[in-house]
Amino acid sequence: MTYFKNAPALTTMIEVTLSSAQTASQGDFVLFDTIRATGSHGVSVNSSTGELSLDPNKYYRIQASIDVSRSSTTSSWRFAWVDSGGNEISAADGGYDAQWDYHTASNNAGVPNATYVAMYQPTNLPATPIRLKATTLAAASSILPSTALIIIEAS
Amino acid sequence: MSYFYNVNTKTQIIASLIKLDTPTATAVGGRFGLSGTVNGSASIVSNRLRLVAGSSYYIEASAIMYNPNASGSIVYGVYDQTNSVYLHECTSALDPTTSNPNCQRYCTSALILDSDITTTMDVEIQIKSIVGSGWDLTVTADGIGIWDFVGYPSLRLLELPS
Repeated sequence: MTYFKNAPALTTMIEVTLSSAQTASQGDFVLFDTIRATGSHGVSVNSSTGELSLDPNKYYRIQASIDVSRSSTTSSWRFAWVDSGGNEISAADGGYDAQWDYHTASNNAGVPNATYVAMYQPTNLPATPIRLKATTLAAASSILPSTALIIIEAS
Repeated sequence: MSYFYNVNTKTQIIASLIKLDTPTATAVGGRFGLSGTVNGSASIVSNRLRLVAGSSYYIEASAIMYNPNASGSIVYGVYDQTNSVYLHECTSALDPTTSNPNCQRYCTSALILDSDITTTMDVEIQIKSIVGSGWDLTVTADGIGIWDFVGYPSLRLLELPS
């Protein structure tokens, strides 16, 4: 005979934002500095390095919504999650990039749709710390305060 | 004898997917229509979400709009009608050929904590500003303007009981 027990997964929703616009270029990290949450949680941010520390024993779904003012109106942008070693977290490991590609009206073949959001949802326990990196971004662009993370943490 | 049992863990989040329909007016202050089933303690009242104390809520909404002139922009956001304040706003994203330097997030969103709500809070997805003319915000089963799409634009509501 098999017994099942239903147990609630302790769940917290966490919002991580920027308090002001950040001037950034390709290779820079998003420097989040503000956290609001529905309860206690295991997330912290380092506003100097952009590191987002997660509780290695909990489960996460992280959605980053990107809001960028480009310094060049013919430029594109792309943001991706990287691990503590600076390596981009692949889709196989739960990392999905956000991308917006410029194109002209007459030359749009092969240009992907914009995604706007970067997801990190590992199947198992998370990599930590992680950072959100501008892998493509025109020099001296602005990452605007509407850029935000919504994190669902479950134990 | 020892007994072992399997544990099924379930998140405490209650999720709702709500249709985000044609706004009451294509003008500043127009609020997008809301229809559908709301799970949990929130409800729809006059195209507003009525949130009830005792839970926290995460709202995100992706409106759709069309401008045949391919210019201008619309700023819309989550508006707290109870306290008369925008909780978050975003700007419509036009075609990637745009010379508008801003490439905004695809949706407006807000995390509303239980402590933010006294008894109830009414929020809506409201138009904050419009630049340009000729905007078409009428959502039909076939799409909007010359755009065809499958499915309607939506508002996603996550409720987490305290």
